[in-house]
Amino acid sequence: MRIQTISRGEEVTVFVNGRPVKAYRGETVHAALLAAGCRVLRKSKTGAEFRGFLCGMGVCYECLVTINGMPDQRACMRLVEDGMEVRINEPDL
Amino acid sequence: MSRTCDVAIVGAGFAGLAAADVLAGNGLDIRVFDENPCVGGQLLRRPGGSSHGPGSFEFDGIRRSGFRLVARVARRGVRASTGTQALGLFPGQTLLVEDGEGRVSEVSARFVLCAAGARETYLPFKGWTLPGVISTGSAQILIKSSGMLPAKETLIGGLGPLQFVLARDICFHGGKVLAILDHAGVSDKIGLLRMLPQTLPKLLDGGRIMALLALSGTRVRSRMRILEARGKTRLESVVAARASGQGEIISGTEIRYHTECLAVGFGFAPNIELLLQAGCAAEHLPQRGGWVVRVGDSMETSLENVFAAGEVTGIAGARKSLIEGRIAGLAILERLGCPAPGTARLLRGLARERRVELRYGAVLNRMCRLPADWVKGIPEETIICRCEDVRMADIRKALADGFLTQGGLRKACRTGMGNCQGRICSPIIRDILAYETKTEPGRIGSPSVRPPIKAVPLGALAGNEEFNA
Repeated sequence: MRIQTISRGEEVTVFVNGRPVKAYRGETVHAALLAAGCRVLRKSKTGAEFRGFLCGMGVCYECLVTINGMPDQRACMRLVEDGMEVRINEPDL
Repeated sequence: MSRTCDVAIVGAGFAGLAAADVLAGNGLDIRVFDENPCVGGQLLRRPGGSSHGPGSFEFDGIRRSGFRLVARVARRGVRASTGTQALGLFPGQTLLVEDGEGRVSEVSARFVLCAAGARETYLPFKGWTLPGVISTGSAQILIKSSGMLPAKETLIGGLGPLQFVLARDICFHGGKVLAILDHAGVSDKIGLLRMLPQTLPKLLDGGRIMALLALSGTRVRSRMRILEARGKTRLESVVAARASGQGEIISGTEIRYHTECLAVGFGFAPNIELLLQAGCAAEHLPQRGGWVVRVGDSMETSLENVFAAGEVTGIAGARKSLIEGRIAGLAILERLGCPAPGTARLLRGLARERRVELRYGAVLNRMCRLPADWVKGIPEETIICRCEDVRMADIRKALADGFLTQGGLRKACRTGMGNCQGRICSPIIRDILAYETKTEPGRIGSPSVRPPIKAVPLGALAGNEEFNA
């Protein structure tokens, strides 16, 4: 749901579980994942529930994903980079 | 790796930047650290690399002056380390920071200013952990930082002005708001009128927002309660109902909304973890938004040479943060032996302005308070601690077994032991304890905080840089 009237940075490609996804410089990984339709990110600690984004500001740690091989990164706190590899555990692509 | 500097500032929002602005240009070595990818704090969120957010005219021109402040501080050569989180504050004003890539270093400063801001608070309801239930702040950040709407259609609910601001932003950018489920009543907002004329710009902005929402056909429902979020793997629908003046659900008023996104926010909690861990005295002041750090007139905490400014001393909005940042900056300059001209006069004026903003904050915080007995209605299966999957039933059982403190509950059922270290659940747990043990909220105690105050790889703490390679 990118807003059409806003000017954006240069187009980049992020790989979500290997799938190329279009994103724009200046966006967070959170935004890029959402634009790619990923709302479900992982299972909760006991595996009882699915979890996705909550606070968007680095507090809740619900949006943990693997970025360039580094596990447990907060998607809301990182900006996209061209060629970035993001891995989520419960991809609902 | 260890470095020394004159002043280390944690948090580059309004308060931290205002202090840096005062301190800069005196030949001092100032270091600013912020966990976020950009400086500016929550209010000045904008796409990475750009100097302005999506524009919108406001009578209360605080954002405009904020963007000017960001530019001025950068121009004056203050170095800010973004993407860098503070892990602890130790004797001798030594900060432990991590650069976001697993590199940890120590920074010792003659003075430390903590301006770590605030976070949103939540009221748990059945299904609030479903993907698609997000915070109002999160939705605003998506719009401001990434130019993205949280969904095609968004349902908004909670307490306080942010829900209306978010609805305005969504409508302004062509999105749809299904409804605003305001948990407060219309009468709860009367306090703002009593604060005229100080609140006039804010009231005018509020009036304009309400007019825009009316024009866009957005339904605002007062005194609502969200009962349940439903969905298999992600949010599909939300059930809400109207509450009486006493907070009881009125049967027969249930409404169901079909939506993939519910944005909720129930007020704010100051981020005082770093200061608590360092050993600063804190106090419980409901009019300031709960547990806040105690500061004197110069913004110095109970620890010598450790200052605090902004939301950590009380929730009252950006203007108070700006004022307190300036006060702290001027006070630190004086202590460093290079006082700004007319410091005493400036401080007197700022103290006066601060009192006005604190009164406004008190009105705001009253608007964001639910009756204490909201705890009574939490269904057993509702998750309270999201990190550790602790449900209300687990907590009621632990309470029945005699675990009647925050520490007791932590030992009995792991509340607050997960990744967020209790940042989301501890305000909820304190409300539950206050209600169930019939204790004044202020007597429940602030949470105990130990370093590292944010999650960090163990290898990073051990100083092994190859750990993450």
